[in-house]
Amino acid sequence: MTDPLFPRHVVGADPKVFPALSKSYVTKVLFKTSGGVVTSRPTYAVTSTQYGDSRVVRPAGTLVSPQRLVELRETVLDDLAKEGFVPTSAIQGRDVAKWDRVLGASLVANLDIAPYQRQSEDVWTYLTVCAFWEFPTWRFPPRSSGQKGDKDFSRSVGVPRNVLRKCWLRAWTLGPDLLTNEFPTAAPLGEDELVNLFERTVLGNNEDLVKDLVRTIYRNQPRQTGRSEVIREFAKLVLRRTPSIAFLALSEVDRAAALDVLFTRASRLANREREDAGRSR
Amino acid sequence: MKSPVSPAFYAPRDNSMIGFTLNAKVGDIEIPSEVLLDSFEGESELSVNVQLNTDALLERCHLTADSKLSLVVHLECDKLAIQRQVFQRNIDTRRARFTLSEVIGAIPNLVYLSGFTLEGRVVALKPVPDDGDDPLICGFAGAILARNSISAYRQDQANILPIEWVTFADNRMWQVEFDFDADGDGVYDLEVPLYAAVRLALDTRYFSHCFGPGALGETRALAIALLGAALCTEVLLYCGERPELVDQLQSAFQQLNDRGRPSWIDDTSSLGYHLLTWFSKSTDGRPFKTLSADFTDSAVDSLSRLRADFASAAAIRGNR
Repeated sequence: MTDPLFPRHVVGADPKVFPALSKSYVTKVLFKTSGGVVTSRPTYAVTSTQYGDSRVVRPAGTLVSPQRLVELRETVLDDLAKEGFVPTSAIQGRDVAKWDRVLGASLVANLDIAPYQRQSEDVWTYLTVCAFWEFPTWRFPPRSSGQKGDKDFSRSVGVPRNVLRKCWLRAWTLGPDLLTNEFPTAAPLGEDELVNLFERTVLGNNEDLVKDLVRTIYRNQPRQTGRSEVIREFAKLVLRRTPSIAFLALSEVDRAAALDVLFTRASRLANREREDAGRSR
Repeated sequence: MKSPVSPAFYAPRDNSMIGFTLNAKVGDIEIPSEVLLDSFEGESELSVNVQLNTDALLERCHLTADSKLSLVVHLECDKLAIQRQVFQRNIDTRRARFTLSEVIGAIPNLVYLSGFTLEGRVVALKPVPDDGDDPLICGFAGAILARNSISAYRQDQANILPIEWVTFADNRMWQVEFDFDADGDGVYDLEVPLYAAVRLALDTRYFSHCFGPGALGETRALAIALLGAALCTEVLLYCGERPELVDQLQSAFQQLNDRGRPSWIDDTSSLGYHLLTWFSKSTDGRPFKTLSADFTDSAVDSLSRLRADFASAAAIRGNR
């Protein structure tokens, strides 16, 4: 047989299919009283014998068992506990990025999800609401009494900012260490920096390209101070060139050189913007 | 050499001028095609046939034959969130023409069935300008001089059924879900997953007008009819050999359609009327179970017919 055009891990060997739940049902019905602030086990949560709420949809394929979902939850919680994270206890600001990385690594290691479900909002909604119900509130708690934590439910329902989905995707694409294994002295990318790369799908969907962008960032600016603005400009500069430049056709050396040029330009643009903002104050 | 911060450069606007053609096959199916592979499992060989008049390309781009060019095949599958360069071959610029015809690798049927776009790109790895003073001459590595693409799905045209495979794409606005727990005992009566059969989503690029603000009851009912028809076809495609499943779906579909008589049902100018008429003619009042024998004999033909009928219906809608 001819060599595959995709690495096996991209398309999966024998992945399991996960149940799904409509996000509108979650926001309009399940979150009606809680407002999305969930800290204790809700009635619609998965049990070892039931998938949870009766509106859970079971897509075709080899469906993961409820017992396996319960085990998955316990494994992920164990992995977080090993790093000192206790469910619903406040996460210190400096530990937030670490929490994301541990969660992402644990999900990648344990969540064997079918390729066609990886972009499914309803599957991520189900996993978050029924299996990892306290995670959105844990990670994004209400800032003051009476205030909603996840204001637009974007951390609970399966949109790209979903608390599980974003961590899984980043760890899946870049590895559990977000490529710092290749650059040990570099500070791992933070939330805003990752958003700037992954929420631009032309970049985020292109695993090879996004890895090269991250390598360029670590190579040129390993320290995090002031990096976020540069990455924003850098992502835009690369994105705007993808219709005219085939970065991945270049040799590794040429590609690195081209991306370095763009990164330098992005730094200049970010500095100029900072100076302009300073002058206008 | 210029840096990639100045990307403007000469490029041919018309592929026919540079004889750039791209053809592709998945297995022995030429794409684009409406014929679906009959399994989501496994892989098929993806082969491409590329022709390029290298001399013409170099001339149009104002480059010399000392330039290094490469053919790259890029594959995008939005529904699986995959973008990937899957093939690269250097082009011999000393020859007037470049031809390539070979299997470039194995593509998972999953990708094929989710639809994808294959783009052939001629890339300048090392452009050598024939006139260094012209600012529009490509002077940096990686520039895409020409591109030619094929899509394995044609969602921008009306001759495809407005359903998507179960991909839960972000643009879904409406979907039908059946409650298989009819007796409320908490146990699903339909234990066997049906893949595309149970959940079908409308492609909103066609039907956003049906479900946007101010959409009429007719359009909603129309969607139900369409989904019912699609459901029927898909069930028969995938589950035709399982009469018990067909029975259950028939019952569910019946329930769906029994939610009252819409006002447009007698309006012969309405799209719903046309579609329901088509649907009733196609099924001739027979239960799905009886129909399954017809459909399973030529399931692909049936799907093609359904698409063609939808295209007519969509045209009617567009003219109203």
